[in-house]
Amino acid sequence: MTEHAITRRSFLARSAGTCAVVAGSGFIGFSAWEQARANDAAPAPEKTAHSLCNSCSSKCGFTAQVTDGRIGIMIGDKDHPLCDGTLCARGYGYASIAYSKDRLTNPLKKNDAGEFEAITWDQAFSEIGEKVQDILKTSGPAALAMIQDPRPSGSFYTKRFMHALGSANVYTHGVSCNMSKNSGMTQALGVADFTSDVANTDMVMFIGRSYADGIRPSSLHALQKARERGAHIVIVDPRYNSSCLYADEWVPIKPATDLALILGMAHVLVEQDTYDHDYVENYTVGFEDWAERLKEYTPQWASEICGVPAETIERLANEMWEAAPKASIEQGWRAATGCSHQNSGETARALCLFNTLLGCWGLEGGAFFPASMSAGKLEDERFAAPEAPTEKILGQAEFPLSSGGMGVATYALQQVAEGNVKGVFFYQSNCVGGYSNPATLAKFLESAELSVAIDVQMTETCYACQYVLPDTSYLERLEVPEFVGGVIPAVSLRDRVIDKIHPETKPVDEIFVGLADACGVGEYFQFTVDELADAQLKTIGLSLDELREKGTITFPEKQLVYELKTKWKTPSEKVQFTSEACENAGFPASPGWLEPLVMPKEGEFRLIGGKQNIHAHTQTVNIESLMAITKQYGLDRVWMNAQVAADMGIEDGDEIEITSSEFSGKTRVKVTERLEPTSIYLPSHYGRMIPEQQTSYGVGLSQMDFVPFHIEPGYGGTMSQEVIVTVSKVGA
Amino acid sequence: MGSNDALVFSTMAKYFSPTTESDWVEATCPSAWASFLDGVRQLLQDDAGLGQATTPAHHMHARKPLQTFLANDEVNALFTPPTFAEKQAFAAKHLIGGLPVSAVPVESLYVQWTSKPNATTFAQKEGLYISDAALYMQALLDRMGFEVPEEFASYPDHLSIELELLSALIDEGLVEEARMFLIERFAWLTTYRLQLVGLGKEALFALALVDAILGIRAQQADRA
Amino acid sequence: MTRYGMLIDTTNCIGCYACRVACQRKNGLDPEMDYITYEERETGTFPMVHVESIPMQCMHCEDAPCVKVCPTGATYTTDDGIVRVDESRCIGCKYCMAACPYQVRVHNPQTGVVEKCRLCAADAYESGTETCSCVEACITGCRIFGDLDDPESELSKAIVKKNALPLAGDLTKAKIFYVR
Repeated sequence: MTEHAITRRSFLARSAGTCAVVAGSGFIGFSAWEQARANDAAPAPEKTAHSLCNSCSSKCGFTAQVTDGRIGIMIGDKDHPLCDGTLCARGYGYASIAYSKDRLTNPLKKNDAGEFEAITWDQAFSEIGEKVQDILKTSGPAALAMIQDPRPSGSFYTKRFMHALGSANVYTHGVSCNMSKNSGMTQALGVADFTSDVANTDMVMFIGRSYADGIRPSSLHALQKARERGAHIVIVDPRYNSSCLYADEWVPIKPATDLALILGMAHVLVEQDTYDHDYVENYTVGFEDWAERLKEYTPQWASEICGVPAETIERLANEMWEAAPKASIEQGWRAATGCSHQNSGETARALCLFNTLLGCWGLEGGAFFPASMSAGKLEDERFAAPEAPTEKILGQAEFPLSSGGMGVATYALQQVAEGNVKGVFFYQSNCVGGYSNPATLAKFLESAELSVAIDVQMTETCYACQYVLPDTSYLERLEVPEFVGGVIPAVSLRDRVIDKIHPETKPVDEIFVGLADACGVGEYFQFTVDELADAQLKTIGLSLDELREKGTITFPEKQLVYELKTKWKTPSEKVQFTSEACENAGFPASPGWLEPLVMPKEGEFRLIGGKQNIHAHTQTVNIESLMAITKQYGLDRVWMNAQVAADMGIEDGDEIEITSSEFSGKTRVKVTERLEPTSIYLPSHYGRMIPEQQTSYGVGLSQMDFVPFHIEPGYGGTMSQEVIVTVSKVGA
Repeated sequence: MGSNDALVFSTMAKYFSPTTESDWVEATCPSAWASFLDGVRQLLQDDAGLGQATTPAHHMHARKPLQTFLANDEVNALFTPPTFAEKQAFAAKHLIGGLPVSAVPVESLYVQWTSKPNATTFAQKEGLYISDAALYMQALLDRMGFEVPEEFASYPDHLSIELELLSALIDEGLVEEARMFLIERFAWLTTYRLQLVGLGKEALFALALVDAILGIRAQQADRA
Repeated sequence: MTRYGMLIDTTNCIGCYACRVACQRKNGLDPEMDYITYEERETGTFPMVHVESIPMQCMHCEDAPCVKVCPTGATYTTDDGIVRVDESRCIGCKYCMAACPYQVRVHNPQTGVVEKCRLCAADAYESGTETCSCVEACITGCRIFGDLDDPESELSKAIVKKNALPLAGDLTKAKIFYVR
């Protein structure tokens, strides 16, 4: 028999002060342990903690119970202005991400064979740091870009990191979301957002936005109140969306023609001389120019373009005027005004101007600008912001109307292929999978000297990068306090709910501290996120401990007061029917009809997207409890108008092939009366291409695969619905 | 014989956990490796308790070779232990989470989250970290006075920890407890091995170790 | 007497599945297992179309077919009118699944038990939470849980006010009432 050649060196250490166990003591078999647990009464939660949901951008506040160190019951916080006491299916389902087997656990680097391999944080930081310094030396800070989907800590740290490096190139997901809306509104009103006072309105028109699909509970509650009050609720959408439950009128419209509808309605009010003269005379500029331009946009003209009968256009305009000032067109989001069409920015501008005719700004039942609250200036030198870069964000010159706060992220990526951007970072952004055509974006990234993605699971974006850094899940970290605007503004906290699960993951704040150190700008990050949070809260007389305790704290003294808004942050300090900036960017001074990039001809369709209320873009599709719903109810099917389907011999449940200039794919069809005939609706969440995401892989089709890479002139939106498809029945 | 048993399991643990290069070189040097293989071979057929000497009668019987218990390519893999660089490369690709080629050796990922009815959120779900198996392992380690190293803080049910604990039980002479632990705790390896099979040749060594554990488990289960 | 029941107002149901997911969490169900299912009814023709989303779960029938067919008495009705399953007695024969006119009994492949909604508020009262997880989760507040025998309960009043009816009339004397 061989003697032991080695001694056993266990990595299981005895706890300090524990003697060697006496035979048998301490050991308990699994069944006995389980039995003992079962005999205990339901264990009381050992703690509750407050957090902010991460399943969509609303970041609803909730309270979580923790039992045995694991997350249990979650309850929406009543005080949180967006959550209003209830969470949605996504919120409940998404919590399992913390324990998901698909979580990234270690920093990864792509090897020469294109496969990812784990590396240490030291190696990741030092290699990335070296490359960043190289790029800074050879090409300067403008050759670096950061793309992020804003989250409380992410927004703070990404911006600070990039500014410390001297680069202004911090982009959000805006180009594929609300870029054109914010930019168009800014031209008209000088602000990027307004809120229709839906709860108190007499008439509200939604164009392409559905509170019951892209759920934000408080907005949905407002819509319910509107119906209870007997308000006239009109939904303009090619699809009979879930919000139609609350509407008394669905106006199916040809997608990409919403601008024609708005111009037609404006024509009616101006021609009839039924608009708020007082407001227009005193608080606006350029009305004459628009009035002149509107002359040609008769309801008949609009009807021919958008497919809504002329009488309906005329009636809706008059009903709006009758309800004014307790009336407005809601601002919309991704669909009509946000980023979908070549005319999205101009549609947003026209929408604001139509509302101006109603004189509804700032009034109860009209449209208001949420009250807000923010932290004061931090006195401690450690928190002093790095000097802001003097150069403008890359893309601002090429897309002069685009909001600089969002930036044209897709243009920045295009500049990687052009050699002008050499290093790209992504934080919690599936840019490649969701912003525009994925194949094109991935191709752009191939030319990068450095590409780094920070995320919790492998996404299309991570997959296209050289380095992937594993973030902790939202349940495992504290973030910078989140200030939320609303009727009553509030501050809320994403606190640590459960302990860190994977030892080699790091919370976003620590990742950026590590990156900053490695890039030679560590001096700007000499504090912990706890210290930062506490310091920010101290400036408004609160403390981190206090907010931890309460989760959300409201500021009733800042409550919104209804009053007619007369001062605007535009160059003229008035509402601008005409905009010099728009003129300089090649648009008419006041908005007129602008053709979409494409229009379907006979036998063709426009492919449209849109949220379902169990998913948020591509963020939640890998969650098993949510994907189970998709599969059970066939929610990944594409929608087709019933009459069109009948004409083509297509029946509900048939497999069809959809083809665009970019892509062709097969899927099942839902034949429905709920869709306008020139549209094909493909839910925006599916068709994930990453085998690492085991739940979502291969289910359905991805809308973005079909969409060519485009950027909306002037405004920078991604034009996510400027795509024509043809449809054929498989096997026919 | 039998006195080698604890060492066998702790050597296996080393493959699935980060070690220093010298530790691995030491564990796989020819004399140590021969001793390890001999230990595996004995455990696969001994009728003795874990850590106990076999009976003289058993001694009399011809010893069966490893090929009797494991597939040929697995035996070959066992006879040529990976170098430290090879071990590191395997771990960097396969023993981490989030990749299609991930084969994370954590029990929770292969069992139901909890069997306690209506206990908690994801109770009946399989394949989530920190299942009851993890809670049990943590409780057991606490009771027995062991500390889980930092890098395994949330995986007390990592294969390496389970192997180390088994090894410790044997070292303490807790024969029956060791047997119970082996039988109860390592059932998940039947699922885990499929994950390794899917990785092909690259995972043969890991597969051989896992199959050896399953073989030993079967042997101990038969020893009523 | 106490006789528990529920009202579901489909004129307020957007079909968002929040109740299903909250229920799964509360009861620790596998993602594929659901105590709450949905029926979507599309009526009319474009553009005059209407869609109704009807969440369905155990109706806690007074005249419960599943109780009648259960060979072991595993499915039984409590004194306060809740149809429940004694898991230790269930043999997984699935007679109840065949008998249920609403198709809301679910076989749990892991335990072999055929489960269903148990009106968890009745438990929740004991452990101090306010109401059923589906009621609590509903964003639009379209569910009311309460005592049908108490004419003053919010539930009883709402049933009268909104003229709520069981889904299938008197068929099984169901205790879930629908506003449609």
